Amino acid sequence: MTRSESPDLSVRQRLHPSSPFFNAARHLKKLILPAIVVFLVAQAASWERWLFLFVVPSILYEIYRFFTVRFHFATGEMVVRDGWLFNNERHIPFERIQNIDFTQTLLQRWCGVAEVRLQTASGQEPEAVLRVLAVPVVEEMRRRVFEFGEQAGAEVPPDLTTGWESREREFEVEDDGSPSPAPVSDRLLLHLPPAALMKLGLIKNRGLGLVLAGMGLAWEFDLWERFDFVEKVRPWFSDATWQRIVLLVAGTVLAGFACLLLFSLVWTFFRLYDFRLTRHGDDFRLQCGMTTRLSATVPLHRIQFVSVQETVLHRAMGAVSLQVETAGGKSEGEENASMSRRWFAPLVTPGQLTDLVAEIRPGLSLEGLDWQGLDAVGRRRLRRRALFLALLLSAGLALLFRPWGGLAIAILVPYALLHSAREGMFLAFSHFAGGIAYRSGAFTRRTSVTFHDKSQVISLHESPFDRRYAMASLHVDTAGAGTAGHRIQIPYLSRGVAKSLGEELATQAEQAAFRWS
Amino acid sequence: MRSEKAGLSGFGFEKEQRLSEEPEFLEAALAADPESSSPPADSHDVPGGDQEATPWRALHPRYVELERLVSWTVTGLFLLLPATVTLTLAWSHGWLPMIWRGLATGAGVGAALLLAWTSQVYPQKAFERTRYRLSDFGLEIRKGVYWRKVLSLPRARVQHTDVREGPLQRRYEMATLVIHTAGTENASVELEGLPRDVAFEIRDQLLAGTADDAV
Repeated sequence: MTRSESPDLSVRQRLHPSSPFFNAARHLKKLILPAIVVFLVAQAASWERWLFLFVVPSILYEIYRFFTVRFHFATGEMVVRDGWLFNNERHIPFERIQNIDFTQTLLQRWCGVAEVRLQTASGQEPEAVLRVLAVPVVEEMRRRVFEFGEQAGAEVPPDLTTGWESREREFEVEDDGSPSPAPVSDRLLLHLPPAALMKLGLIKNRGLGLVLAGMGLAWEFDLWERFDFVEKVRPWFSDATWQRIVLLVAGTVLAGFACLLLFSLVWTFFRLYDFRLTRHGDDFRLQCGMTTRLSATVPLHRIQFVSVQETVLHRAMGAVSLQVETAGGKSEGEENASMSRRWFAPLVTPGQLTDLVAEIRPGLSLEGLDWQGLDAVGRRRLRRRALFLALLLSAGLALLFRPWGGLAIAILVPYALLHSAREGMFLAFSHFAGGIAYRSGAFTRRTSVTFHDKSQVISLHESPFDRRYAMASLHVDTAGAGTAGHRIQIPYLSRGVAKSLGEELATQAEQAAFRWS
Repeated sequence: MRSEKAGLSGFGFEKEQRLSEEPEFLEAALAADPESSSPPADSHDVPGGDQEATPWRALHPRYVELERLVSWTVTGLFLLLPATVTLTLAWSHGWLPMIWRGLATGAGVGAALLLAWTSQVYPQKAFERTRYRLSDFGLEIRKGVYWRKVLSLPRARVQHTDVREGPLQRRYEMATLVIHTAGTENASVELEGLPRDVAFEIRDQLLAGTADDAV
């Protein structure tokens, strides 16, 4: 697949010479935790040490990649070539780029390099991941891609001082007290001060996941038994009074919880430090991070789906978080997922939310929507399902922990009733001029919106249970669905409503031509 | 486009309305009893049913025949035959205590009946339940015997299409139409058992509609 067009300006570029080092470090980083575990248990099973030899081929591969990967810019596209015997040449038109992420760890910042991740709408993986490039190259790349977008948009004056550099320049400007030399068209939409980061750390409570993972790992490697955990702990309890046991247990739990909270706070603070969401022409740009700096760009029109999340803690703090979905790159894990999807606006007040939503779709206001709630039959079905699950779970527990497990029914049934009642109150949909909105959830509430020009297949589903009540559920499929943890799948609609709503949505979708961009 | 403004006022569930106005939502294209709903062999169109302009169409009339053939072959060769041989051997050689042998035989007969049902009856039901039509906004597909689905695929959302023909399908002049969208849950929608020429016809019509939509 070759193109007759010669490279516009750029000659072929290599990755930065330090890239094998950074990539090898990346592979090694993944092995740190297993390494600790193996080191701890190694006396008994020394063969496990040899597993680390598996890292050697990946290091060799990174060196090979450094010598084979080349990229350059042609008109309106970027070309990435790799391979030695089997060449692969990939052309990525700028206009197909869904989002661009730049990442810089502390070490990379010292070396003046950064990672670039280009995503198009296609399938699973980012179209191109370039690890690592020198910062001037990255700046040039950014400039070209965005310049192209601006030519296409033809309304925003070219602005070369964007990206993380721009912030430093802004500070310089402030120091000098002189007016900015270049016209800065960036408009700051959201900035998270340290206090907001603390709140976010509380809400996210990342540590919990880490503890669960650690416990899983401990089971996996039989660490409890290797360290005779129970034997070591037993003496503490052997001659203890019950007061002492209660104190010990409560103290351990509290201390553990405090540690988790601290971890979460610190993690959030470092990761999202100085979080900024700005609007630059038709793009949204995100920047954050203290040691590892992230910078992402989401073209406005690539946003397929908008989702607002509100946990109990969010409500206690009078805030919500806003996520957006763009197409492509679905299968990436949580940590690798494009940051723009994870944290479009991690913590906003209701007022800011209104502004942001209007920024994404002018004229759209979530408060102004005319919500259609669930009727009595739907609520009854929700309640019945919750009760059934609660009883099933209690029966299971009763069988497992005979006979006291059955007592769980005293907690599960009221919980099921409360959960279904709350869910029934919140569940609603709204069909507005530009698209469809759906909200659901009992304690963690999610409100999502998609638009006629972004919705794909509209489908109605009828389970045998639905049929008994002459009901159906309506699903609206979008590109890249699921990354925000919510989908538009409206249950318990009466047949007539589901049918006419489905037909209207399909007609409106057909009339509004789908645009990736 | 029929729209019921009254019905749109909520998730609104009203028994009266269900019984009078929407007697057969998914069944709209089908006649009331299953016997008369199987279309005449020479036509793919379903008589009666929906009032809208484009009629719902049924699959290839020999779809049931092909499905039964495939299903019987698979269950017969891989499940029924080995089970029969094992059970016969078990009885003739006296393997296992009598009670287990009896239970195994019972289970075997039960499974055989179930498999016979899925091989013989289910294809007919699936055939009766599956309908499609090209309407104003694109392709609509109804399918599912117990868990029923109506898919509305707007013409402008078709990314690309495949027409698949297996060797057996070719003998029966059938094909599977696969339509790819940019979606996630329905990234590709399959319609199996179409008459071959109809599959190509639908493909051409869908593609003709998308020609002017630059993605």
